[in-house]
Amino acid sequence: MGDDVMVRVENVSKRFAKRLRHVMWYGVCDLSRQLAGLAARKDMLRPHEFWSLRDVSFEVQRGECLGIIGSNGAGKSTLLKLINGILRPDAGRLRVRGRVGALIEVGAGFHPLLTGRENVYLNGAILGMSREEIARKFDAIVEFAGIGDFLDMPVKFYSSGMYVRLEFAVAAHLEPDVLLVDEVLAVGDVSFQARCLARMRELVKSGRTLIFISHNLLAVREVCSRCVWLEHGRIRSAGEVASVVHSYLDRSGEAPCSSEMELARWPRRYGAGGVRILSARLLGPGGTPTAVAYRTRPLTVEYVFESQYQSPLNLSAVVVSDDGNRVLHLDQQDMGRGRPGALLGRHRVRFTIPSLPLAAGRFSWQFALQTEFLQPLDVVSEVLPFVVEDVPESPRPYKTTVDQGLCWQPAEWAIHREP
Amino acid sequence: MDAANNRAKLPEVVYEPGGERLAALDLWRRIFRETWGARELAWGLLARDLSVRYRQSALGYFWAIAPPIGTTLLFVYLKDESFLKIRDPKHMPYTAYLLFGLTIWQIFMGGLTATTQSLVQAGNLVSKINFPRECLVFASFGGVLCDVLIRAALVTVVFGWYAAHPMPNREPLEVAWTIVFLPLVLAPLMLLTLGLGFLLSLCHALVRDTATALSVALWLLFFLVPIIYPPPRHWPKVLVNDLNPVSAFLTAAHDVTVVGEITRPASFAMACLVAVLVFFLGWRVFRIAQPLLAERV
Repeated sequence: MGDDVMVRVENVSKRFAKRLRHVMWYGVCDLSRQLAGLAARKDMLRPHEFWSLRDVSFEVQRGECLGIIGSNGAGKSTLLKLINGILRPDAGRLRVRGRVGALIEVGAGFHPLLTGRENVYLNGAILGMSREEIARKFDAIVEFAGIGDFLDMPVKFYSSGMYVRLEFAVAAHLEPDVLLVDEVLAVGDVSFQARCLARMRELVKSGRTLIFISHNLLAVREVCSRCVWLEHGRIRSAGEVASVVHSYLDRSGEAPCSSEMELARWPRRYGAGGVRILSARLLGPGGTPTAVAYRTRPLTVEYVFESQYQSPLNLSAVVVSDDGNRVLHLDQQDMGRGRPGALLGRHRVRFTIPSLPLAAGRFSWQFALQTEFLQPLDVVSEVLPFVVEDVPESPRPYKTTVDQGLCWQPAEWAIHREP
Repeated sequence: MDAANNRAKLPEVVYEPGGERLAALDLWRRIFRETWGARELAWGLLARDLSVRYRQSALGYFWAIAPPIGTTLLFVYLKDESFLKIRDPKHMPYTAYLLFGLTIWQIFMGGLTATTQSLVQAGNLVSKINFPRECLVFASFGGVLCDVLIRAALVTVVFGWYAAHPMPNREPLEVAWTIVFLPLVLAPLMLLTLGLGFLLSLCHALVRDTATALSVALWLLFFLVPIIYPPPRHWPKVLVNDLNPVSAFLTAAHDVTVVGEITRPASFAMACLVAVLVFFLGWRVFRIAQPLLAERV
């Protein structure tokens, strides 16, 4: 194995049985085969089995943090268990160098009747630390957890927050050569999560290797340098973290962007009714339908609706980014000309944004028709997906993308020398 | 330079389909090394079980000796009232014989029961964390041994009583010098228990009735082992004693404590052989089955 490669996964596959009966029976079969010294039958699915991982290969270098992302059931935890040595692959090979630590099951071995102090020693031993090592790090662990005087109380009486903090504190002070982290950030409050991320960054900086599974893409982007996207047990994409995360977020954009849409039967809508948005389209500066907009250039939106609502309506629209952030809110009343009266019958609405302040990325629209008291009558979401491109004449030497920020604005900058 | 040296020293593990492929002796060397490396963990698990056992109980360690006291009183009563026709044992009054047998039996019965359930009781530890699972089995067995030591203290007290106050028409209870060999005689019994425990813990993790089936089997076996009655002397009933390794160990322990020699050397030797074989076979199967188990627990 190359000098700096800590983990090498080569064409690894793993299969599981679907039903309990088969799980047990195949377990007995596999065990007998191994005892008899027969080679395992590779590359085959017995009845009622499925591939949890299929032909996965990648490498992790020393001092690198690799993120593993993917939807639930993609095989991420299975992959981690294989690297941790808990499961054996059914095909392929894994090579792991150095001491492996895992932040997978927080609070392993914690017993409610033992005190916090006793549980720290026990948990540390289960995670692989020697007693001397735990004693050495004991004060740091206690301080990280912030438990203080409650250390000698049985853990049964801790609040759930204290419990989680103590659990994580022990695991966070593992200093293995390769650390595997599986979505432990899901527990704990925001400040605690921030501390955990900071600790992970420390570990990476001190030269440890980290493999991080999370659904929290922001955290993955912060800590990891490379990323692997797993889908249905196969690697969909692997490489530099920003691009992989970007293409993962883009996955819903399998449907092409549209410049025009029929919305009469659009499913993603809610509202009391009485009005109905029928169609919408996006127009570029020339007035032609387009699915591509440009930062700082004008953008026009047009939609048609039908109304039987007797009272005045409120019209608004929202631009939503790909990860669900509501970026721009536009309201017809911003024009300052007051609200239109009742709009019975069919109408065509058109509004123009003179200079689009969005960074390059994917967005979609939400159109809302509300009563004058802002009760929703018809709200359609995720319509007109469009792409914003950066303009070629941008003074910045690099692209303005949503990774840097969703919106863009020019500002006055002045630099003066200080004596 | 230092970094490069450090890198070179890092151990590397390769995971492949199928079991560990090593020559037999190398494999055992690795197994011993890994288990010895995890001795602190085994010790920690044992300490945890012991300190927790009676933490929230009122009577604490009294419960360790309550069962044998209760059983002894019951069977002494049944024998004295002639509800059960039991011959008086040689060398020992019946009460002492019964207590002694119960304590030795506890090594086997308590040990098997505890080890069988040890994997399942660990729950998520088995499916999520990598550590030698033998520690769970050894720690649970260690807990049983502590129980046995407490009962042994009780037995010692009772022996002392009968040595000082002999029963009417009987000689006083005399302990032979060979009692120093008692731990040596009991060691194979412990190996047998651990070996069976390794196998049964696997079964129980896969098929949860195992513990129930085991308790039924042990209850029946209790009456086949000469605990509540002295061992049969005549052929063919002697076979029941000789073929059963647990009986052989109990008889040998009894012999070494009060008789001064092993009265049935052939059956004892065979029992030792069986125990050692079962131990190594059980451990080997346990090792192989670990990755398969992690998927299924």
